[in-house]
Amino acid sequence: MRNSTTRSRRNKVALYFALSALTLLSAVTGLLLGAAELSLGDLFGALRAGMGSRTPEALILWYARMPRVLGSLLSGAALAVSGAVIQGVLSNGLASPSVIGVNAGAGLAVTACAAAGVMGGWRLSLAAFAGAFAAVMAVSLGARRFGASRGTVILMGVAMNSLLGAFSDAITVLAPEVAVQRNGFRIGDFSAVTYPKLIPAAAVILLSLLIISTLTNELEVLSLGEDGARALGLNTGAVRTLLLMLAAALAGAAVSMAGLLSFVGLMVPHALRLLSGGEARRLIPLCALAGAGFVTACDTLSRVILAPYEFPVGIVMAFLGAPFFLFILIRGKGGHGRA
Amino acid sequence: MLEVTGLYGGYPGKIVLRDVYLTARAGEITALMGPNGCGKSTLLKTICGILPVKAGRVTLGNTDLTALPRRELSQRAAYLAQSRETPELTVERLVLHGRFPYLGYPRRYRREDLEAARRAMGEMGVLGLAATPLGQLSGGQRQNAYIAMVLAQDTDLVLLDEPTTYLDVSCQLQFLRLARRLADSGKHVLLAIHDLSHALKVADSAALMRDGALVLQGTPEEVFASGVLEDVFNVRVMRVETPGGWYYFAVELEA
Repeated sequence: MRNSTTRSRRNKVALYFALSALTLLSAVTGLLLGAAELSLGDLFGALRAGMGSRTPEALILWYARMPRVLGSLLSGAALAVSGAVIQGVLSNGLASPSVIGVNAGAGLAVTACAAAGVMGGWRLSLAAFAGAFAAVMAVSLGARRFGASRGTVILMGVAMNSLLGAFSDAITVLAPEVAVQRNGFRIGDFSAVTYPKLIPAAAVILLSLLIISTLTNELEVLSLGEDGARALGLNTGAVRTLLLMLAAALAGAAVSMAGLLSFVGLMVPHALRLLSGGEARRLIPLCALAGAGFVTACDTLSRVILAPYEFPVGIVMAFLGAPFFLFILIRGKGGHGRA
Repeated sequence: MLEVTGLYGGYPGKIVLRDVYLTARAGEITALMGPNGCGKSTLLKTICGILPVKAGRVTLGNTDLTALPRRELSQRAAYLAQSRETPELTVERLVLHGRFPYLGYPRRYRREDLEAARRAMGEMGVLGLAATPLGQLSGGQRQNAYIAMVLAQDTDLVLLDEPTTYLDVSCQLQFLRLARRLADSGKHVLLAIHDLSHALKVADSAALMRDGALVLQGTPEEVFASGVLEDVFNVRVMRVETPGGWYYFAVELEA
């Protein structure tokens, strides 16, 4: 028993290290590779020269690669954690920001902002959060008010998703100048990440991740069910709302930078749950790491495969992620299933 | 002593409990009996604050339980639900969350919480399963893990809702011995239970509910002798003397 306990603990530590190493690696290659390749020497030189330097290497690093890599790291972490939190709060493994319309809510807000000429800054982040939060609360309150089953919650989310998507499409029809960027936005795209977009989104994401990291006990207690959680003194209504708000903030910030990346929020938490179990205090940090690494690696690939052209990152993510996900699902069959 | 006085309660838009009076003493097992839907679960959930009190009082000693904040109430009263989720937690993590009502800042369990959890797991014989996910346990083991969580919560009042429902006979008897141990350690044990034989055998005090009201509370002997039990369940209750004392059982009414 002792042995198996230490073994499983060692496996979990190994998973942390492996994911950290992969994430670091994907970040570094993300900074090096692209239409113009930088060497490690160029990288350190440009890093030392600072943002003010006018050398081509420094300009590429600081104004093309850096915001993009930071953007992909942060949105990957944000979407994966958002997915894990939403799945936990709705106790529904089929839920994720893209499935239940949270991304679509943020997407509608961002599209509306673009039509109004707001392309970055705090107003955009705020609008994205408001859109995401409205969508998640609509689904969550609807589920509670009508006592919907887990399957019905997903259906309500899917309906919400199409409705919000239809509004977005309507805006692009009425305001054709918005439609130009719309394609990249729909499948997810980091090429338009600039500092005015990155900085407010990064602040929101880091703050939300920090708060969520203090709420992992609450997430685990919520998994005991409504009565079980209340019997342990948890104010379930307030905690659910707070957690959904944070999940919406994460998804909204990610969407405001990168558009509608759909796959991360559903797949990453599931894959990690199968690999390391569902305890929130482990799952949340692992999701942040894995989401960041996966999205960044996919974005780098998307720039390299057809260089100097870009292949949309959303497509790369689906090509890589889906088979891997299927593999884990089949291997982990009968493990930590949760419908 | 737990005293429930003139209690009204239920769900939003639906009153289930009507003017309930009940007492449960420290060191005793109080069995709550009654047909399906009579309000046993509702009563337990209302006492421990899961459902709101619409009118009436619930006091434990000198403390008005209805006035306590949820967290403090959970330090006084533990509740084990009838149907439970199987969360994706290890046994140790589940039992540790029994200490959730005591969790302060920073949001981490302290050494004394870990020790309380280990003691509770030892008590319930699940210490060896500490690192095992709940989903991989048998029904009886999972039940023991949940009871260990309730033990770790370390409350004066323990509310158990149909704890023997999904257990085989030997686990049921084992559970009833445990309920006795809990009571012997000075806790108030309030047990909603369907099995009349078990209830009358194990309880120090038996309370009988019908249609959201408490119709009778007394010793098992008194409740048996009153005939109200037979009336409420529409059965005939008989008893035989065994070396271990009276054994009660229910049979159909003769036509």
